[in-house]
Amino acid sequence: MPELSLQSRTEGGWSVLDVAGEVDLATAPQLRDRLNGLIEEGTDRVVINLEGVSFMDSTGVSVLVGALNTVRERGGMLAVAAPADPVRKVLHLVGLESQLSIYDSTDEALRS
Amino acid sequence: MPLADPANGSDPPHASLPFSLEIPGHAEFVGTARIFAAAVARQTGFDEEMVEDVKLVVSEACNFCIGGRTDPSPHSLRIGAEEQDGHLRFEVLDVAPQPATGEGSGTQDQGWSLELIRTLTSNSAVEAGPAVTRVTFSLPAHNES
Repeated sequence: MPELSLQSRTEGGWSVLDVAGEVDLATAPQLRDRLNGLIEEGTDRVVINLEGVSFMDSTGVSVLVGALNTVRERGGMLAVAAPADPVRKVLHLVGLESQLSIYDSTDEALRS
Repeated sequence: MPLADPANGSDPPHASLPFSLEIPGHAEFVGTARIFAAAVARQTGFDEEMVEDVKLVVSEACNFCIGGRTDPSPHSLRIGAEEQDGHLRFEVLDVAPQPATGEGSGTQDQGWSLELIRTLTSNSAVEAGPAVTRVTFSLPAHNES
């Protein structure tokens, strides 16, 4: 089974979720649960750091969209940081590259 | 020994394909299908960018088959591949019969799965019926620029 590592921290008023591993049908629920947990805790500014994600398919995209919609409904912000080229390609192909705030690094996202 | 195709009682279409893998039809095995697909793509001479495309479309095909099931009974997915006319052709087959789910019952995730498969491959086809779910597609075996 693909492994997924999720570590959250707070930095500059943002909640940063560092994601590493593969996001697919098996692991996407873990990412969804962690993001929902962060949002339920009252976080309204979230950076999802995808630097360590080597693979993501449409199930991962679906989780990002769900989190984005929930955060926006609450008047918050969600940013995606450091997606590798294959991950960015998936976001582009499903038409989300223009809807998500995507940054080359977490630092860049935190400065936004 | 190849298993019989439940749709018609004969050998499954890709039983004789040079590359084949059978996995349990569960989410945690989709990663295994990706490893298999990547190995086949590298064996066929794909560069790493194309290997990533192959991993993605095979993953999406498995997602489509698994995500469309309403019957929790054990089933298997078969992934077959062959190089044919300068293309690497894949077939992902859910070999267990399942109840018909009705037209238009696909999820958004399944919609994205098909969109990605159609965008990244050629000659893609989906057969989703009560007896079998089959996704086929081809990618150029060498970069076409």
